[in-house]
Amino acid sequence: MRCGEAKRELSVSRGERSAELGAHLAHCESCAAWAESCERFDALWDATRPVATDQAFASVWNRVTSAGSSRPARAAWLRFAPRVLAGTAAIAAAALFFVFVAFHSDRPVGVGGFADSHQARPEIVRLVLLEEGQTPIIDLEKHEVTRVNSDDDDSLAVNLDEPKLSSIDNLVLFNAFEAMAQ
Amino acid sequence: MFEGSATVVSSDDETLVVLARAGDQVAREELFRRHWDRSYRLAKRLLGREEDALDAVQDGFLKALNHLERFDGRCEFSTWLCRIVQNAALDLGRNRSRRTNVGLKVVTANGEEPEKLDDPSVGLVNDDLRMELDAALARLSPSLRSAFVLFAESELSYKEIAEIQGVPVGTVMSRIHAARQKLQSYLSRRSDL
Ligand SMILES: [Zn+2]
Repeated sequence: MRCGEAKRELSVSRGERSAELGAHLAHCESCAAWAESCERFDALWDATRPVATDQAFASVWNRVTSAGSSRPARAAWLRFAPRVLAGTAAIAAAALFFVFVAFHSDRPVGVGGFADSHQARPEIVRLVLLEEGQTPIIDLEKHEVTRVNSDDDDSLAVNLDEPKLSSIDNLVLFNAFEAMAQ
Repeated sequence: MFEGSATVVSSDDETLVVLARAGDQVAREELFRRHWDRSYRLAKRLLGREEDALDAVQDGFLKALNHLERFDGRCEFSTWLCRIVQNAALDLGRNRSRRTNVGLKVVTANGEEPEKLDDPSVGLVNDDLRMELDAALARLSPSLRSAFVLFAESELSYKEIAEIQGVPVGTVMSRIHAARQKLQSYLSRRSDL
């Protein structure tokens, strides 16, 4: 047996050694030293084996189940920076207002039609004004705002259907304000 | 902790997978409980940092449990899961800079270094050794590190490690040998290993 083969066998050994290797080690100082180094390293490896705490176990399982249960049936949870959403509220609401007028008005959209339509259908769009730092929590299945969170709330999220995620920038705000309309 | 029935607990992994696919929550929990420890050790060795390891295990189990239909039974479930956790850990390691505490001194509230104990089984010394070992592992390429960690921590066969890494068994042997040479060389410069 050559030294290279002996050292390689020692490296990948899980305790068992061939008779040939044993014979080689008996007369080869270099390989015997390598064998000793491997044994010391293996002892170090065993002594430093990571031990997970019960707390870590519970924490990860809770995270797995909560993440798993929030995404069944084609839904996803998205987090929004409250200041970003609040800051874009006015722009999005204004844009949505025009969208509703365009789709719900019987007349061509113009200055007069806009005003008349709005007055004729006051129930279509009801703006929810957000103060800076607030974010609406919206349940899109029930189509309702469940609550408004402040900036320091860490559970800000909007539940959306996965197929809408590809054009999220537009749909998130559109759906959010559609849900707020009553 | 779990409310698993005796039937589920005594079932083999393949049976649990079938039950879990059908939506059996107890079977999902049992799969997690059964494979948690090894997954954690694997991720911890690959990443070094506790928080990163827990995130990787979480990512791995989420991927596995949400895509059980992709497990085709051509290998053991444990091998399939190890591959997923390994990939999750390597992905996470690429995305986050690998942070180790090497070079940091442990000090007491008074700013003094704690007295070290002679017994290597005692926590403080083991913490130092673990940091040294983490630092040595961090210097390996992902393929060498992964091969060695799978060999030394996962109790998988060489053939199973080869399946996970997508290379021949001979390549796995070579990687383990090369990793061990580097690890023992790094550590011998820092201690009397
Ligand atoms: Zn030799």
